[in-house]
Amino acid sequence: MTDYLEPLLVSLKTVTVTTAVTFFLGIAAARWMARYEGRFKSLIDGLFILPLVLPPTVVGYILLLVFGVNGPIGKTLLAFGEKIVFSWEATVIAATVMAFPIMYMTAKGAFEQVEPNIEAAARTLGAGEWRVFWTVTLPLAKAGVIAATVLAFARSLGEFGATLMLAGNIAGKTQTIPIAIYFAIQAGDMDKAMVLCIIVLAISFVSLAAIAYWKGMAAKMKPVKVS
Amino acid sequence: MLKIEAKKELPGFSLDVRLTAESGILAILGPSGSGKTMTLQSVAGLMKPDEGYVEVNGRVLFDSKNKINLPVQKRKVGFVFQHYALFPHLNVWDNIAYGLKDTPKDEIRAKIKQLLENMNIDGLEGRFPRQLSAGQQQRVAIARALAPEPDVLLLDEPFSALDPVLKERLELELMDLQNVFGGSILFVTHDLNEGYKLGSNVAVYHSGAIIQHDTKENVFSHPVNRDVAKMTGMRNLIEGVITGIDGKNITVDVPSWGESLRVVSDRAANYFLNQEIILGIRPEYISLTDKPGENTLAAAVSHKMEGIASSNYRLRIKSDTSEKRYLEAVISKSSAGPLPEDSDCYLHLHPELLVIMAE
Amino acid sequence: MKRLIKIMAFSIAIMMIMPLAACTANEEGNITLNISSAASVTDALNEVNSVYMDANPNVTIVANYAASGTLQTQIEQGATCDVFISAAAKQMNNLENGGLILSDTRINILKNSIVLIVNKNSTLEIDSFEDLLGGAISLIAVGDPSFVPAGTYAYQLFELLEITDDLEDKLMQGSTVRDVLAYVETGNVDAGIVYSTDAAITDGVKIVATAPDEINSKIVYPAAIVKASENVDAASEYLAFLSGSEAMAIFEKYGFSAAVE
Repeated sequence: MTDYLEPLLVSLKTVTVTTAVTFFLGIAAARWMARYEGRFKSLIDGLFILPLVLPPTVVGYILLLVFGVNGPIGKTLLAFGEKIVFSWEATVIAATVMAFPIMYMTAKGAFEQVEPNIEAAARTLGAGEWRVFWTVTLPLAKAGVIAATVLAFARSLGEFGATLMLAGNIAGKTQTIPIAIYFAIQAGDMDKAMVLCIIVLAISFVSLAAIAYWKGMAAKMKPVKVS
Repeated sequence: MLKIEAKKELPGFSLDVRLTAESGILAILGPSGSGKTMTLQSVAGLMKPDEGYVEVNGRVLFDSKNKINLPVQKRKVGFVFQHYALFPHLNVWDNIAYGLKDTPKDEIRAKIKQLLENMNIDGLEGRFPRQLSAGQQQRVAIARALAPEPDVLLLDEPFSALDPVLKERLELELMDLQNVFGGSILFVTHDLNEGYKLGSNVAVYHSGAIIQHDTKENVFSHPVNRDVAKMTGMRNLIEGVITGIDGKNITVDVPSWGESLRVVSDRAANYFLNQEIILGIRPEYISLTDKPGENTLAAAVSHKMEGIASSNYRLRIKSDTSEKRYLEAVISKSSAGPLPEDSDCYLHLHPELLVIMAE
Repeated sequence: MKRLIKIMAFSIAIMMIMPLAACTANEEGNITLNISSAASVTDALNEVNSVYMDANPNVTIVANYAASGTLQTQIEQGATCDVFISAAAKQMNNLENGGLILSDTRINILKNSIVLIVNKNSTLEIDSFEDLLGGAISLIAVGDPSFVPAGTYAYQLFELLEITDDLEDKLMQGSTVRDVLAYVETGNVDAGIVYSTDAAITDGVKIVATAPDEINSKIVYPAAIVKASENVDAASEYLAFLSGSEAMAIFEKYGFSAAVE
């Protein structure tokens, strides 16, 4: 039983924290880039989306270089007595890096869908940029932001390659469900692999159903042009 | 009350406008893409001109020379967008209250109640924009813009999406608005009649510049050039030469018709002999007559389009050498029943209704 | 679009025919031998294979290295393989019980020993397996005992020393013994348990302890011909070479010892 409980708990812990971190980072980045018209727009946008198109093992390798004991961030943290590689925190870092592009892209798309005139109207009525974001943009992009969050959640739940490289396989600490599945298959324990797969499938299915529900809600919020 | 100068270069388009407006309604007339909305946006701060100056009620909102550029939020400009841009997630009350964040709570109630009454939308405060008709949305948009008591009110094609009956009603309401709002009102339209009805002054736009800005009477009866003439519906334009000036009477030769016409003008002093000018007359001002005479041309009906109370005619002037010039006439059915195509008639161009333009 | 479909169809057809082509090639005298071997033998076996191919120009050897358990699973799932070399008897037994190998071709070829390694720059004071219990050690890499023999041996050692439970929280399980080696080499774990032959191929680690004979004597590398092999004759010749003196000399160079039959 602990065989299934341990990876489940690790995954839940990791996914919860990852989703929360990715939510705030993704929204902040999306809001910034939806407005930004500077010269480096494409470059920054590309950088944010990069983990989505790179193989997870490449991302994992890069993270290892950066956070490893010989890497820039790793060395600094070591001076404070902190080690990131093969720690639980590493699962969050790896999953966040992999889930961020999806949160960012989807949220940005949602913000860009908000009619610019509506935001402009808010400004003419005296609302500063923060107030416009909180009271107009975000509520109107709500469905998209929620969809983004659910996608980020699902992505971080299934994250494997980068996690294995940065966080390793420590049962009860960094062994997430996907990693447990991998090792179970290697060991020929197909039953264990199957049960873990079903758990992940169940969680993912519920997430997708949630998106569909919210999409339905969004349809009610669209401004109707009455003739 | 309102002073604007704005210059902006965009790929394929150049804006260069200057205008001042006192209180009352200024109609900004012009075809799509002529820079009308850009002007409004420059006043509101939604667009930044490359060079320019915006002053409202003595307050400088934008001055490119002195690097003053007040953010939109601080300009106190009321803006009614083309498709109203109401907040779909807020009900009518909250929409109108949006600009009143800094007002004390009890004052907000009173203010909004008053606005609801003034704009004839009392009772709708709990509804959401999607539950309102276009006319109601329009009124809410205006109420919302007026709530924070702006210095100037800008309307971008406010009535373009409405049916004629509703349009007329709202046009009247806009005129009444002047009773509650004392600042300048600028409204953009491509509907000539609307511009004429509502504006006390009219500014005519063409390709990013203002080609005439005057009282509506002057713009419509003394268009400064053929662009303004065309845009104000004076579609009959023909080249002519001044062959005689006698007090207020000017004799104009129209070479392509081989005819001489008499024009009565207050501005005869502005013209000189042998000057090449453009002669214009509104389709509605051409009348039918039964025999030749002064300022009367023989014509044949080339095309006709029958309307409800009047008919539009395309008429070929019989003496026309080019065979390419037509006159357009709109004749009410009460003065003459619809003329069949190819029938002959005589057109009378009244001397006081003909307009001379220098170009 | 049509052209793209044509190219794709053509490529798929070629890919499906190639295995057949390989078979027919065999009949012409050129043979491809697929060898699945435990990861710990990688470097040694590569050299052995080179020598063999030089001596037998009509034979091409394709080597596939992974943890023995992984290889077992692959063979069970029908992966192409002529000869299987395992780092423990367990995986070979499983295949034998499943009737997937030619039992009478099974021989033990190598022996090895388990060692404790740390990063070459490590300042940790550790010279025995028991020292792993110390507070300065927070992360130890071992192979996953369910399918990596080196991991199985490591856990057997822990059982022997009765330190398994205490070490539980510090253990990180790798999917091959070479992963474990890499973890120690990159300095991200405090110590690791690998074969002495693994430690020998790199300068990045140093051996601080060797497992007792009770453990090491049980380490044996069996090899056998897979039943589904289509090149049994060539495989036999190859297997004979593996246990011959020329190959043994190379294995010993890398730190293996010959299995005494």
